Amino acid sequence: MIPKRIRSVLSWAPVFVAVCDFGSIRKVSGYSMQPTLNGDLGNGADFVALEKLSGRFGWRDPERGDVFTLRHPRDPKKIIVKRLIAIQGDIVQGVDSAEAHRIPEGHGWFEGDNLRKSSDSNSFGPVSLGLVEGRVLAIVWPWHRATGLGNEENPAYEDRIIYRCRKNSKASKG
Amino acid sequence: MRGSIRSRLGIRALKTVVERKASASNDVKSIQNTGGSTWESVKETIVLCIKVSSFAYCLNTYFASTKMCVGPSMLPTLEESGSLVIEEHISSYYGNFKNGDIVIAKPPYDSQVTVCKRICAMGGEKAACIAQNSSKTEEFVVPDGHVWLEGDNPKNSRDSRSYGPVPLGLLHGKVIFKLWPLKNFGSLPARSASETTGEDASL
Repeated sequence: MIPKRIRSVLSWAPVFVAVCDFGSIRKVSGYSMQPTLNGDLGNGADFVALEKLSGRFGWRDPERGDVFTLRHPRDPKKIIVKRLIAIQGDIVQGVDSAEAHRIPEGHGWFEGDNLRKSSDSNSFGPVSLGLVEGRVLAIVWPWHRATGLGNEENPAYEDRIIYRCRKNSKASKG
Repeated sequence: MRGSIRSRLGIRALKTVVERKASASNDVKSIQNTGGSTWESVKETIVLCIKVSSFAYCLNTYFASTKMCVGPSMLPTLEESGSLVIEEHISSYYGNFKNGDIVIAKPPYDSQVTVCKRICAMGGEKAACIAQNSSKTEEFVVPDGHVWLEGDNPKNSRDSRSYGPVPLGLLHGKVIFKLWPLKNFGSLPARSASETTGEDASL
């Protein structure tokens, strides 16, 4: 017979899995989102809080500047964290090439903040939003770096977005 | 070393005995004040509901689920009016999809809906397709980590021929069994040669 303690742990395991599907905390690895994430990699990696419901149920339209975790389009087992630069209908210019990309329906243009060390839409093109796993809400660990992550639009991108299909809700309010 | 293990085992055995005794006395107590502690029983019921529903959720999301497939795009294999199928999700973790599997996937253009299509080519393989609007055949290599999805009814299907190869991450699960309608109950047939050409598919 299974001991009672193990049984109670087992019976709570599905609850834990289900809660992790709504939101979880994950460790960020790699350089691609420096300096926003892992800005102080020498003293340990950042842990971020994710929210996975809005993408799954479509409660909130993704906006430019949001940071998302997504499955790598070429390797579904790899999860990457990138910033959404342009949304469907926008026309965006790649970093190295002068080529302009029109973002198709249901896609987004994702880039790392550290463009030199990032494999992102500049190498694999627009990414389907179905690959988005969760939205990064905040850095929760280490304490001295803990902040919320809003959808800050980096001025460096501004001139690369040739055409904007619609404005961010924040921008239209202001 | 051996002694310490034995003593630990002894402690564990003692603990279990104590726990059992405690639970037994609890049972006696709960029998004694039935009707009195409604809050306790309500709490227990809520916890049980949470556990059962999350177990069902995990089963549905990570193991297998039923799905209603409606539409003409898979016509000889699945009914237009709707077929109830079982899809399993385990293969999407290990990525063991192969050519000819019927899969449920999110289409690249909309992350909120799912479609049911057949894998026609895996990454690295050549996909030959007749473009929907023109009659000329295009041939190209599907990129790594992508699959080429097509409906079994090529004349009435929005699939990879219009939106291109689909990343493996968008595949939800593999359709393994057909439950409804009853006359076609059973496992799904592999794609036959006549269906691939699409010559004799009548509308």
